Amino acid sequence: MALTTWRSGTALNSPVYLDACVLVGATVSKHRLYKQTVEVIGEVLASGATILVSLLAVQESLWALASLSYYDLFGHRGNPAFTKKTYLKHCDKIFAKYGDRMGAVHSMVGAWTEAGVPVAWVAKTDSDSLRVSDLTPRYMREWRLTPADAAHLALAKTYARTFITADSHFKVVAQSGLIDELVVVHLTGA
Amino acid sequence: MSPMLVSDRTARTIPSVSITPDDNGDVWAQFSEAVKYGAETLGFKQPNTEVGERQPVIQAISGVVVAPGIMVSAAEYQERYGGIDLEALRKRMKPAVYRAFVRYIGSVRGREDLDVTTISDIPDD
Repeated sequence: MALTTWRSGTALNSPVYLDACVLVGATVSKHRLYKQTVEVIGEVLASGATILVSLLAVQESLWALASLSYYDLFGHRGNPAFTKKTYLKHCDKIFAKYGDRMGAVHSMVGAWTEAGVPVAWVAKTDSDSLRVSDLTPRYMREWRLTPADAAHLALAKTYARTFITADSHFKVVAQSGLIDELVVVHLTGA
Repeated sequence: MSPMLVSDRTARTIPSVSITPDDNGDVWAQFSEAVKYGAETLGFKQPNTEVGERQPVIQAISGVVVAPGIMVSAAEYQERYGGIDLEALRKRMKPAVYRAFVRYIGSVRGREDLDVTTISDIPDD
């Protein structure tokens, strides 16, 4: 597995797996990765590459949008911890004020699909799901990844040729060279 | 008049329109009418709406048509599309794909100090 730092014009081999931070990063404006996530999404769409989306990535995107909504609701600066307990306490307020934004990633991916962009949801089959569930704990152990990060990597390994992420945990994996035929494109915001 | 696309790049100022609070205090309804008027000025036919007589008070609205049917204020354009070479991407995308692309990018207002990688991690507790 090779590591490439994103630059405008970087070639992306299809299919492309999008990490949650890329999906939410292109939906939410102003943050330091915003321009890069929009550029890389633009490149994926312009190239006609197949986009791979997982329910795990959507779930994490929803968590990110709930976090942002909680910060906005109470005027928090920085990125203070947003726990499940906090979420449950403020869930009703979050949806009362920011319910519309919670569907933003779904709407974006849905619009791509309606426009004819090849979007594939993974895992596709039962046997593929079994393979992903087998690889996930192995990746957790080998690279000390969280279950979610290991599952992203297993999905990307199973289906993709390019894995786009801003998560620096995957840099270590990519640099190890232990997973062939998968290029990690890393967004740094620089 | 042909619609202004993002290739025009420069925000276009739409002629002044009047906005005053109506009997119901529904400023948003008037704002909607003002936007429709601006869109028609740019060549997008809008459904007919009845606009009551109003006292002229305000102000010009600046808008940029990013794709057919998608118009944003100059400020929003800068926030969502500023510094991105949309023209180059538009030339490489099918029109429907380009429209889907620009419609949703940056649709949620964020802020500079947001770390999208950190907040995407669902905690165990």
